[in-house]
Amino acid sequence: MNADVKIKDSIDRGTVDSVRALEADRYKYGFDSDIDQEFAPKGLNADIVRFISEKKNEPEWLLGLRLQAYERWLEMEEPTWANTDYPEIDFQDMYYYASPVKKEGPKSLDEVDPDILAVYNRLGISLKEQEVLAGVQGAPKVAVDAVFDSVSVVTTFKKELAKQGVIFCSFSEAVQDHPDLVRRYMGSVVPMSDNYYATLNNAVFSDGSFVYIPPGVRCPMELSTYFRMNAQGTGQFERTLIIADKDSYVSYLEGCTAPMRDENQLHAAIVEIVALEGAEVKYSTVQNWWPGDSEGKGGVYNFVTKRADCRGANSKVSWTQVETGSAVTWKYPSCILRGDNSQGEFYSIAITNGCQQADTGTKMIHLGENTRSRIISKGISAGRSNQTYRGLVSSHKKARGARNFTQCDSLLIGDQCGAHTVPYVESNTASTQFEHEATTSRLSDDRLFYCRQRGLSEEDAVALLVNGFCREVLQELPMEFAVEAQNLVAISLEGSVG
Amino acid sequence: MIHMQPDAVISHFPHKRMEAWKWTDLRMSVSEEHMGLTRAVTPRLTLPDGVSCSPGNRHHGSSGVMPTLAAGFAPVCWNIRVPTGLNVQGPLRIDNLSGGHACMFIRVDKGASLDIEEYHQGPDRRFSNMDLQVHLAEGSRLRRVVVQNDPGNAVRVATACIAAEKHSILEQYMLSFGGALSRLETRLYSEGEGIEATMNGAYLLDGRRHTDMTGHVEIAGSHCTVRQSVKGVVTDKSRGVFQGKFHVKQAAQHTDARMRHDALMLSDTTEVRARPELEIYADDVACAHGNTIGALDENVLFYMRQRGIPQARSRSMLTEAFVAEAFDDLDDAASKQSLLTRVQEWLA
Repeated sequence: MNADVKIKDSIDRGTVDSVRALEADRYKYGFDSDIDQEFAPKGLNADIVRFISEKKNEPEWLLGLRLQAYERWLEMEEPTWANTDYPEIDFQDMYYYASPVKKEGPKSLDEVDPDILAVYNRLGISLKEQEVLAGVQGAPKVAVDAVFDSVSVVTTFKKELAKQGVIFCSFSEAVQDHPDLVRRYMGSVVPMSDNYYATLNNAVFSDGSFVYIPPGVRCPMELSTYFRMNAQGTGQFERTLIIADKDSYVSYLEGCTAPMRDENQLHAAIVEIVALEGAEVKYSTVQNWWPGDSEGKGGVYNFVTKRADCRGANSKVSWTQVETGSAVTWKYPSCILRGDNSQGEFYSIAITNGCQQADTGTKMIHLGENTRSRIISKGISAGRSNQTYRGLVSSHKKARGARNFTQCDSLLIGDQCGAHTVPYVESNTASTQFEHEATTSRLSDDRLFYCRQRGLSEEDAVALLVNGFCREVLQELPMEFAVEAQNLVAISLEGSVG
Repeated sequence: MIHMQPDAVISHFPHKRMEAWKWTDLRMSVSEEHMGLTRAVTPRLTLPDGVSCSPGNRHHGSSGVMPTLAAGFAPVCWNIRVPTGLNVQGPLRIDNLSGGHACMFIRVDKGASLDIEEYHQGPDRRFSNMDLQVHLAEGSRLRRVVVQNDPGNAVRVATACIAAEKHSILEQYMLSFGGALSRLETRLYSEGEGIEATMNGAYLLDGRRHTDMTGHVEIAGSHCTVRQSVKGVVTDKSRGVFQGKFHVKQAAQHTDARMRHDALMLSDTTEVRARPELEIYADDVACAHGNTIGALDENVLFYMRQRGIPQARSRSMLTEAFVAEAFDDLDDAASKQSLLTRVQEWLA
């Protein structure tokens, strides 16, 4: 934090120190790794799109889709409505494909380049399933798909998951091995030309994860994808597709980091989730891309389209995100609540520091009867950063009995940052009940009174309630991520504004 | 003065692809049959003692298409002035604001105080566009009570742009019954410290009526207090729109600003749109907004019916109580009663 940023007296030392600990120049994942990689030629044109498709040995229909998306993208304009300010991106000045040079032979953990394994070890990501299978103490049982720049380098526990019928593999493998599933569901939640960055992703997407949970199966372990952007001058355009069939359950985790560089790197991903009748998907993200240095030099542009379609009755999708990285974030994980009685949840903690900019939020679109959604968003701005919560809650005419509760609180630390709230609420039927509030005191009037009745001072009571509430959001994260997230969010919330 | 054909005027109107008008498509709501698109209307002013009025030029430019059009079509801007220290007795009444463009400027000098009653109502198929500019000097006070009650086929845009100097007080209460389209927009620029503003309102809509209550408050001085509470009741196929924004600048420390919008939907074919927005650059502030949309509480209705109150009466009582909250702080009994009577008449 700059010395010239004036800190309010009322904010305690611990808070300030915690924020300092998150300072851009203390980014512990910013190391560079010298891995032998091959690249597509720099720039973007139809030949590059064909190059990527050929590298992945894709069927004709997928190449056709990519080329169609590329043509559409050329006609589109980059959106400017977000509360962000960054120099124009030169889409011809980056690599759209970078892959570690492949060794010949079967793809197993033993065959993975030890240098890449060393990178993941350094990031604290265990790719060693034998330790877990052998019962090594402390080894978490999480299946990991490790995506390194444009390719998935390894996916663990595939065999064990296959015993239950669960498909967990890289997107490229899914295209080869499960083309029917991919063709049926890909683009059914996020249409090809949904928005500028999604269309770009459709043209040049590289790798990502594919998950299919068969009917009635509760996925026996957490599934996780860890994205690492390593190569210089490269954009990452991953694609994730999760299909939860009837009455299934899966918890999916996503983590991402990048080396510290002076350049801005682009990350434009698509995540699609389909939840069929009675299915439940829990999607958690700890987004920790390189945020740039304290002067705003470098950092990742994180322009992501994430959407879930609660297609079946009684289905549920829960998004939990801890956003601490990226120079610019543009991200609105959403739920289309199509099935009757379906539920959508969005829990978010976003921290911006240095010169970071985040315009993030969610959309809850109620189409089915008795659909319910809940949005809890906590934003903390420090340094010279700016943060915006932007959300949409809407109900269709047939969405009788729809309910939404939204709460978004923001905290400003220092006098040079900004916190903004832009909620859109659209109701089309009288039987909906939408509530939106953006103040801690409104949330806790009754509880404050209760606490004060029991002898707590007002300050202690507020601290107790807000900390308790924040912990509740963190508890939405699976245990594997909770510790990392808690370290990132070790900031006491005080003096909140809406 | 500008000269344009009605269709050319309409082509300049804001439309739904513009973010600030996305729920209020003025261009689609007006036709060439609406009278008043290309002419000026002279407001009827009932001036209390000590208040002067003279025709003159427009003082400072309100931003936006509609105020610019009003200034373009109205040959004069009516300049109303309240001299320093004068506590005006009785309200300044403004009516005859239908069927054309009108432009007014009100200056309340240092330490002076003024009450305004504005009546926006007129005959069928009129288009009306008012640009009101207000300057509140240091320590002055303005109470503005606005009643908008147009026929269901009238279109109205009324924009008030209020610049407030330090320690001035603004109290504003609006009651709107909509029209084919009506937009009541208030832009408050708090330029000094210690400004107090109350911007409350209510809209009651039936048929296919549409009301848009838009507020934009920019706070640049410290220790300002802003309270905004808008209540909406919609039934039949009507649409209520609320857009509010508090923009708290870096120097506006110790701002206490609260915004609320609550809407009751009394039938399944109604629509409510809301965007309560905060943009905050000062760290030592207490800012909040809240928004609720829903139907009358069935449990409360059941409770009232248990006590022998007929259903229709119960609904009416609950709705009246809900709306009346917007006018709770209005300390002029006559104005308050007048507003509540209009609410009761609508409910009956």
